[in-house]
Amino acid sequence: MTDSNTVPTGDFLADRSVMVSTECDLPEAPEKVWKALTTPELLAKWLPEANDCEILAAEPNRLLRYRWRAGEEDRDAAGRELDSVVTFELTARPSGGTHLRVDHRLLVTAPVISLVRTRQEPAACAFAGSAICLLRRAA
Amino acid sequence: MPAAPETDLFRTLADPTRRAVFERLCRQEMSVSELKAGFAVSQPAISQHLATLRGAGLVSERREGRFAYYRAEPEALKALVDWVDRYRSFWPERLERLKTVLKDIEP
Repeated sequence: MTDSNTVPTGDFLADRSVMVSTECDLPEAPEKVWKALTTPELLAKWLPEANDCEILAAEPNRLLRYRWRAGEEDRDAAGRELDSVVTFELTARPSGGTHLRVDHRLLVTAPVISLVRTRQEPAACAFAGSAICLLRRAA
Repeated sequence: MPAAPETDLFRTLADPTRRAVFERLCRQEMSVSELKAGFAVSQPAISQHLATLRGAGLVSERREGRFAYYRAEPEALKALVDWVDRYRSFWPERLERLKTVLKDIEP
């Protein structure tokens, strides 16, 4: 990994979504980055998951948003898919390159918090604690 | 799809008292009266908070004769926390691949 990547953060937001976002600086111009984001053959090389996604918004060389298709793992405890939305934002840099920001947002709806009955483990408490910290920040 | 109020995780944990109840129950199972000892609110109020937490799947109840005991079900948050963890490592890895793809595109 190069040092131009920011470490993605995971935040529970006040609007009840959960977001993972990351950004990086690329030497290529927005037009070229846009091509990599929208050409199926190129997409297949780095983000094949995006190829059949439903496009929600597209502004050439600037913004692309689509409904992310839930992977096998993107399910709640009851096996229901977790719906999320990915947004790419491209900004031209003075150097001629592109600043790229990726926001991946999961909408928290009732199915996510399905009723589960499992035995309680200390490890589970640890992550509940971290989730509470995030919720507290959002509150 | 809007979440039903009683199963709204965020609204449930937005209340500081409820959050504190949930946190205490994460550490150990307790009865309502044991729980009440740590709070400056009435027992009916605690019971109301417990009902809301149960509605959201964050707390479960175990009955033993006349007594009821409550414990936290942090697994209810697992899907969310796992999702965040997964995509926090997914995106940097994919952006590295994007950089390689970009270098190979003809100008």
